[in-house]
Amino acid sequence: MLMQIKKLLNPLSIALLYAIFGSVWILYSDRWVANLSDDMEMLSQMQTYKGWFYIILTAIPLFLLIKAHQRFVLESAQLLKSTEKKYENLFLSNPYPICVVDPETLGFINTNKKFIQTFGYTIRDLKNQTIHHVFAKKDHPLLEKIIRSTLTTGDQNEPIIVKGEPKNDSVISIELMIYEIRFQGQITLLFQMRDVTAELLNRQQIRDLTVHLERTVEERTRQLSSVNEELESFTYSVSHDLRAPLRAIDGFSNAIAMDNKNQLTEESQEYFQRVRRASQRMSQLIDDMLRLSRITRASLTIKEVNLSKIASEVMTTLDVSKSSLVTIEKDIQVDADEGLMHILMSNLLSNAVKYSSKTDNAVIQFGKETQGEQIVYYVKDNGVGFNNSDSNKIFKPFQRLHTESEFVGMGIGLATAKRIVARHGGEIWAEAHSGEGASFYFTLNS
Amino acid sequence: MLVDDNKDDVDLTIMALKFNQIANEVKVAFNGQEAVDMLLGHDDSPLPAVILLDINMPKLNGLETLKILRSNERTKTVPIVILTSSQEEQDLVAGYQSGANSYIKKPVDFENFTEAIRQLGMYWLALNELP
Repeated sequence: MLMQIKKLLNPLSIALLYAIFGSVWILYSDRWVANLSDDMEMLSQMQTYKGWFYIILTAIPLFLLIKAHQRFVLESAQLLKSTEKKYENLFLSNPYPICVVDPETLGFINTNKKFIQTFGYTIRDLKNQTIHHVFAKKDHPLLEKIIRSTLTTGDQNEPIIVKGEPKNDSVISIELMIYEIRFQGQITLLFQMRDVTAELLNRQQIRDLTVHLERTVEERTRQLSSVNEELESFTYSVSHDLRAPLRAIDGFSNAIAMDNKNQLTEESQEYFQRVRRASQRMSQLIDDMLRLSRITRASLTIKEVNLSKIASEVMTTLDVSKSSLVTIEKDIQVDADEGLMHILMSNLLSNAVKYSSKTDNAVIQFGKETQGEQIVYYVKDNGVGFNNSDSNKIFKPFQRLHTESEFVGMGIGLATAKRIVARHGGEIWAEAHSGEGASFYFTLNS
Repeated sequence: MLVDDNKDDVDLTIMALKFNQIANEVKVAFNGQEAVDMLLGHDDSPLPAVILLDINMPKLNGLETLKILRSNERTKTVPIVILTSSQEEQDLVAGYQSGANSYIKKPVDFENFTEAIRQLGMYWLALNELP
């Protein structure tokens, strides 16, 4: 309804309505009055009233129309003003520095708050200055080139990085975009900027840190490889030089004992035997140490390996008593170094056989189970076992829980096993109770 | 011929030879240079039936000595057995690559050592045929 009234309020329809109403009035009002009376004087008086009535009848809509129009104009003006205010705010309070520049003189037309804040100049400072004033001299040619291309092609395609020179003599990095816009009726250039000083500094710091880190890694690698080399030459000289004196001790004490067989007392003979046993044992220790270090140094060849098959092969080489029950789970496949797996299984299984050798109806098992999300392989026996509190000690080289007379050994097997497992990224641990056997578990993550 | 810088090892080897009643003449060089001088210095002296060569020696080590002897026409085909304390893989490979005929680790245990010398004597001095 309201919309229909508003539609009627355009100038043409107003004039048309007025013309129709006026014509009808002219054509019919006199006839209608003439019918009311025959008295001429009365009639003339009524004509006057009719005239007055017409004026009133037309004045009221005219007043209402003018009033409506006036309101419409006022509202429009207000709307325009608030829109302008919004755009002004968008410009003035924009978080990025912006300025409007005359393309002819390159002088400042307008600047926003952030621009003033970034460069430290007041509006008065910039009044008769050109845009050159806030940028480093060396960037002026680039700046002018970009301005020219903006004026010919419209907008600049990519932001450029230039050096800004604020009032306080510092230098800041500015990312700049230039747009051509119409401002207060004239063609102007809008400079939109972003202070990227901190950002560039951060980037530089990250670059520096990366370089530093790379250097540190390089240095550490160099140190490590030199330590490794030293270790290599150490084991090499151990291998060469430590055995020769032992051979002399063993050989010459044997020679003395043989040459003086008749003069030596039985006790002295026994002492010579002890000297020889000690040197032989030391030789064995050297061999074991070298073997251990070789496992740490050896390069791995990872491929699919059947652990069950290796376990079966190892068992055939061991001296297992007839009453023992050996169970080996079938087809346990792992990705590992075959040679090292052989040594690992050999060490674990020979331990199981050794420490259950004095048990009637010994049971030795190899298999796998799932613990949490991990596949864990195990070798279990029901032999003499050990105190569970010793379960960490046993993986240390040359650490023994039994005397030589109880069970022979050098205490190197489990240390070797641990290194092999560690080289495959796995873990090895033991659970045991004295007299109730031992269980060895290991994982492989290669 | 015995090439070894360790007097103890030299004496023990001679002792083991005697023990095994191997009566061949034994010449001793106490380092590689001495061995090279002895073998290549006089063209007319007879060549040994076998050379027992240690690796770790001053002046000229076993592997260097081996290379020199193998590159010389006169000693190219003399049987050379590396007899050393080292069982390092690198020495083993380098030994064979440089032309050693055999590689033996000296046992520490005198009985085993004597046995090794006996078998060496048996093989290289009795069984083996030379060109």
